[in-house]
Amino acid sequence: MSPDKPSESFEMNVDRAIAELQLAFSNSETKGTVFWAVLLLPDSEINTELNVKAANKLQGIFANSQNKLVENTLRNLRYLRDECLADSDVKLKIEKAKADAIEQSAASVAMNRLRRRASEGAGRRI
Amino acid sequence: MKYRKKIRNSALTKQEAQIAFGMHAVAIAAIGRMSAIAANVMLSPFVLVNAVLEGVIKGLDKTEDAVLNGALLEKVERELEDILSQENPEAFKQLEKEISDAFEIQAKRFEKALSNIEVNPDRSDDFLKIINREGLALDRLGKDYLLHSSHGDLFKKAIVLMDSCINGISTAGSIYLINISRVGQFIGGSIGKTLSSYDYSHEKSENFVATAYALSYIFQEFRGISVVLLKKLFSDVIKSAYVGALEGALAPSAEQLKALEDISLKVSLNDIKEFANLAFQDFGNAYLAAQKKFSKYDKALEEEGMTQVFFLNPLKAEDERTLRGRQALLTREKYKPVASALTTVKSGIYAGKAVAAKNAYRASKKVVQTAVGAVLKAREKLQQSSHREK
Repeated sequence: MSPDKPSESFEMNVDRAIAELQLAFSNSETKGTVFWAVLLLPDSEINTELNVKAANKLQGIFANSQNKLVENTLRNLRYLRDECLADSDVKLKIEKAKADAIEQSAASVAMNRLRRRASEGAGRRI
Repeated sequence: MKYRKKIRNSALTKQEAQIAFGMHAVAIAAIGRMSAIAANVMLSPFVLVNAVLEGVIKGLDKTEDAVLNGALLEKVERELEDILSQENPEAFKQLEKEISDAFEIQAKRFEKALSNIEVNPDRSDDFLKIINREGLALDRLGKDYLLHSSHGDLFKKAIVLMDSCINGISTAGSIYLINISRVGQFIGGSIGKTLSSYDYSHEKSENFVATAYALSYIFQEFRGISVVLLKKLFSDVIKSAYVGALEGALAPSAEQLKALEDISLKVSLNDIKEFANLAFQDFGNAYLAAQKKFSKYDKALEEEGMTQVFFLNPLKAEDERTLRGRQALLTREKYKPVASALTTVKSGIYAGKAVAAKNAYRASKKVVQTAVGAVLKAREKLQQSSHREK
């Protein structure tokens, strides 16, 4: 299945779509982990529905905010879901992105925890 | 005051004395300028961290349009987790386990790397010692953190790491100097772009030097890259400071040179040198004290192969030639005071590295004003006498 009609200046490809999503998700502590997870779910009606809900949630909560970026993110998500189901190599790339997101998220949480401890124990060994 | 007294007691005319004093004042100003740069940078780890952070943030600004609002995204993800847990509990449990395992691994890694850090923030003179002692652990932290991550988020990681530095300094009173060597190139690119947009005039040199120093720490592992890059940076820094000092403050304009040429200066070169010596005496003690204070710093720079670049031979060959050319122009008897002042400035710049003198910098502003005023007054008098002759 082809993605949404790309703009003339935009050439869709998997690596670019993954990179753009990684950047788009980078400002949250969870790093888009759930998005990556639902992208990887096996093909089934319920999982397709889950991907649609993920997209709708994103669109709903970001209503009137960062419209262009949200639109691009949704386009990337839809594109990667289709490619993931069609191509095992793409699936591997997305699994890698998911593993990275989990690790980044964990590192971010660990760092924040250490930071809090450092704040609480000023001057002490941390 | 010593200089004024010396001038009063000399056989110089007031006008000549003003020019002589002006030239030396500017020479002192140049020393003070360089001293201030050195002192500001060397004495303040905060400057280093902030300079890096500033560079990274500026780089980040460019990517800001591509990053979704974090708070909103977290809200989306929380709601999505709820949906997933209800509609595909197995997938949710699996994801939860993966996150939990990853957190345990990361937490242990961070704990281990940070477990030996204990730094008294008041001991800024121990800055280097801290780096040497703790650098390895922090380097490992940085490497582990970055090596196991994807490339799309490196800037953000750098921010997290640098933010922890700032946070550590300001809250825990600890300095977390994290050697983010693996991301060095990436950040370096950002800082490089920032630097390239800097004004190269001497007013901006402090930022420039601060950032360059900061880079030297970031790039510890990328020695090949860093030495080349830093050579260029340091060279530019010195060049800009030097040219700024010469052209911005010392070197007379063509018009002023003409005015000087028209005056038959009777000022003795020895007098000029004596003034210079007096000026240097004032900095002598500070020089020695600072030399001792910064010896550790020098040693580390030496280990980085940068001593030659920054301190001992800061000017590139072509700059030296330019300088010699400029001096050759001034070897004529009439210009000797100017040439002497130039030499003083050059010596001052070489010596300036060790003159820890924030105050000298502040004072130098006034001295420059005095110097410029002296030259202008001399010119005015020259014009007046010229009119009278007509």
